[in-house]
Amino acid sequence: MAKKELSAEERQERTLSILTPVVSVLLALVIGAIIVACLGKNPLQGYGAMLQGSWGDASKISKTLERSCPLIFTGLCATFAYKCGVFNLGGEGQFIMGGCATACVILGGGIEGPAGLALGLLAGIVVGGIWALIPGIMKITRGLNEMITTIMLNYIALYFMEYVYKMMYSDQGLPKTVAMPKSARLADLAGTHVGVLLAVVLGVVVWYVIFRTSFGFKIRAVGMNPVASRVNGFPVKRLVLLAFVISGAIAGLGGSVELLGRTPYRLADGFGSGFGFDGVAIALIAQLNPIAAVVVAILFGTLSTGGTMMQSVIGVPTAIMDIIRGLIIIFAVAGMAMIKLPKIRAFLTNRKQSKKTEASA
Amino acid sequence: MAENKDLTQMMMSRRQVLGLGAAGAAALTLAACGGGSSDSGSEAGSDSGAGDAEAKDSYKVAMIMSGIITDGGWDQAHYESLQRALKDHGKWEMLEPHENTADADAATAAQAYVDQDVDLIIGNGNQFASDWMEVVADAAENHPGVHFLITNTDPTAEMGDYDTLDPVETVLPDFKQTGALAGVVAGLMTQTKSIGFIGGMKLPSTLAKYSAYLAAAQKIDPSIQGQYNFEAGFTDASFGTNLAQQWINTNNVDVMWGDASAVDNGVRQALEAAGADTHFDIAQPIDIVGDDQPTVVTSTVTDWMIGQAMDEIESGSFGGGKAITADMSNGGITLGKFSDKVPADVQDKVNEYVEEIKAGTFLTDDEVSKIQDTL
Amino acid sequence: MDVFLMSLPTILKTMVMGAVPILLASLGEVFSERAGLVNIGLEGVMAIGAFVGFAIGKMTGNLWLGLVVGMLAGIAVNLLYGFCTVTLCADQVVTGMAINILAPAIALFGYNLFVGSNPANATGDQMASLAIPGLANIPFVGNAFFNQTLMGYLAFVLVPLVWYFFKNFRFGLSFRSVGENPQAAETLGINVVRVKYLACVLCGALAAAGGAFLTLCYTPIYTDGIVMGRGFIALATVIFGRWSAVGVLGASLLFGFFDGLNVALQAQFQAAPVMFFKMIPYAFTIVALLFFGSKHAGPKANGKPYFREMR
Repeated sequence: MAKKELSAEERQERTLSILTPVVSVLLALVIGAIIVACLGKNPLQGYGAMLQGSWGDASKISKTLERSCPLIFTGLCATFAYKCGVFNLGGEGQFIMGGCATACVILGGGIEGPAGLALGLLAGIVVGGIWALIPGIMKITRGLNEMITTIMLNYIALYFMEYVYKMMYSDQGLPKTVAMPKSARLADLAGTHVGVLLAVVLGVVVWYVIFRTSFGFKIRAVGMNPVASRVNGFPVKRLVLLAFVISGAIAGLGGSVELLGRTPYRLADGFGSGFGFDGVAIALIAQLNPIAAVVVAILFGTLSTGGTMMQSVIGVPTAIMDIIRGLIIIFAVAGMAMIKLPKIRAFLTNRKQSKKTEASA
Repeated sequence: MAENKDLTQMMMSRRQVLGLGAAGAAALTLAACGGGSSDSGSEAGSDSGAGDAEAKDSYKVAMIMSGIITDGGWDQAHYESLQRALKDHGKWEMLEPHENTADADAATAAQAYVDQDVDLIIGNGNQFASDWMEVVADAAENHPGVHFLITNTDPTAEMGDYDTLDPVETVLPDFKQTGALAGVVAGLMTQTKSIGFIGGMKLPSTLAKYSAYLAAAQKIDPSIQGQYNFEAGFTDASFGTNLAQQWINTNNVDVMWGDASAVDNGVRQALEAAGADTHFDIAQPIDIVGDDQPTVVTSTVTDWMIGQAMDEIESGSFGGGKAITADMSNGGITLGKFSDKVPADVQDKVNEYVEEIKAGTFLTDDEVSKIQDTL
Repeated sequence: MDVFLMSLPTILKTMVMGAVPILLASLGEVFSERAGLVNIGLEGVMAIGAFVGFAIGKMTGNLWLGLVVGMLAGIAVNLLYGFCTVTLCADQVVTGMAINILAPAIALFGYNLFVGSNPANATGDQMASLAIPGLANIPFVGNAFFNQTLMGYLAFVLVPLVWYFFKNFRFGLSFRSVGENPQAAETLGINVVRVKYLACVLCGALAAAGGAFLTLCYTPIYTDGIVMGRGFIALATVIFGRWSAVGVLGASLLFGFFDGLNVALQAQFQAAPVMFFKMIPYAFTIVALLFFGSKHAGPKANGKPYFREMR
């Protein structure tokens, strides 16, 4: 009896946690529609174009998934770190450094073919991990706030990438690297590249590691209560460091995949721009569930490709899509905090209980 | 290698399949939306590719840019070029330009216009050359009425990896002429014999412009020194202020020429603070001489010859990866108005040199490349 | 060395100019963090302040009115942050991140409408510099410190005021207790939620003023991305300045100095790979934090949500 009661509550919580982001998205879209209508354009036509442009046919779907792919990686990067209580805001820097490492290995080493692909991806994982290891070491030795250090490292990575594409492997002096050789690129898959599949599989793997292994249990324990974990004899510092490295490695792999999977197959200005912060938002909207993060990342990708289409078809400023994205994040975060507030919780359970008593009466 | 070929063939066929779907969907949307674009239907029917000179009643043009049309520089200049072209081309109608296009969305933005069968899609700058490879290939196959114009791009050097250049042309302004125009003005206006240049990005165009700028100034006075920065970006105006201040105070720079949109604004701020009667700015690529710009003495103006592209599309001769040249002979490059800070005798002298630059007798390529080699 | 000496006055000028927006934003963040709210959305609030200050200043021709309205806009945006984090107890980092995405988008949208309707609106007006007679002529530092806009002077005057507030006012002390131990503060009769909201108002106003400085005193234009990470730098200066007004002043000036050094190096070593110069301010911030950022400093309950019901 008691067990059944608990599962009902759990079910309610699960419903709410799925419902909140959905409502947030709808609410943000409604506000977006109002803005569009105020500009004298037809919001329904706009949203129609958005759906048509992102999910209208097979090629549109593959483009949307391709656009979502890097966001899946940075979303998983943030998810993993946050599960361990690490606020890694450096997804963008790690993503960029992953891309740089791949470019250096393939272009610098002149390695082509599957070997180049494998080594390139490996380099991305390693360097992304190292780039996250730096703030990790600073955190556990000097107690430095990783939010600040990772953001600063984002800028340093950005300028380092400039060095790579302008000075090291520039294509005839243009501010972009030489294109990755065709033989070392990720294989095509249904109009997009296998990196998308890799990202989705990674989402499942991360979910498995976090929720189904003892390592994941420790990571979660540290994230929930580092003091208690230490008392329990968990190597807290090592786990925190591992969380940094693994989350960085995920982002770094994302950078490699983006570079080897997506046109123009080059590093250039704007590579990875904004992906890190989007990843943080994705992780939180997904409530740190890796599989949900994949879904939310695809939603963000849809907003990007669909929003671009909508902009062109009805002719509204691009900033509207950013406003909608910001609103989704705010609503989702606020909404999820709201349903966790003790008062609201009590209200919800009371209602449920009173309903139950009514039913039994 | 053979494997690769197979792969591309496979990709092609896949593209065709997808393309069919896309065309079908596009037709559906058109049918659903109904009104307005009645001309697009006829286009979809005739599929005979380039050389088909059947004139249409109306054409659509769209512009895609990384900045905004009011940036006071690069994208505004493109937008104004388009406006000028539209004035002479009554059949053409402009769609809302796509501003603030992130690199990750550049291809989607183009695809959006391809889906609407826009006749001409303009990309402001060579960053679009690398992002549009797939879109162009797709459009060449499934939307033969769509044409692409990418500015400041050298098709042979920068678009070598394209499968097809059939629906593509580029615009290449004569950077040497632009630089020389700014250079003679700077050379005649500088009192301290020290001039500066800020570029947003180290592009071939930037290097060519600066080299010609300094070469022309030194032709007027060989003692003139040049300062340069090619990495200022296009948004951080405060950097422009700080850098110009540094050059004014340390290197006595008194004439600046900018190629970095918003950053140029910051430069003018520093020049004004140092004294607008002795410190001058040459604007680019739009003419902004006026009372609200006390430091600007003249502007080197670029027009990206969009009208020519429109003519070619109407006559059916557009495409094949040609580069349209924009130079002084066709009005692509001009020197703007002078402010009253430029004395009459200097204006006359500038105008003399302008004719020489136009005729190509003012600077030799060697003189320019001698400077370019040192960069 | 010679070149460096010649560059020095300009480096110092850049230092002071560059320090002001960071100083204003980080003073705001000091209020915020002293009340236990880590506001990573400074960047977005600054963008709103920069745009609204610019637009109102241009529309009315009164730059001070622009500043005030800009600050009000900053307060409005930051109250959204406050509502989410204080009342709803949402995650502070993500809420701030959402502000960083939302606020610049709103500013850009406003800019599109404002300048799109009239291209002449693209260039605004600037506050004039006021040289303090005598002091402004001191070699090296004179022009930098004593030839500023009134707004710049005001920013520096704020420093002792804020310092005095936290040190000597009863209210300042109760303010601090909210960030240290809100539960205890509440038992002492302090209205924790009200203090937190007040912190949001002050932080929003100051950060927006920092943004408005960029468009009203630095350059007469607004561009998307004009804040250029200054909000994040301000977050670092608060830690580096150990949550004190004086410390934050020092940190802002030091950051300004390294930014000035970056510009001077770019100005003189033109053929060098300048991207490494551009890294200097950010790399320096990390190094400075390594030496001066201790984990033991700072409000104890910083960043933690406060559930009143959980006392």
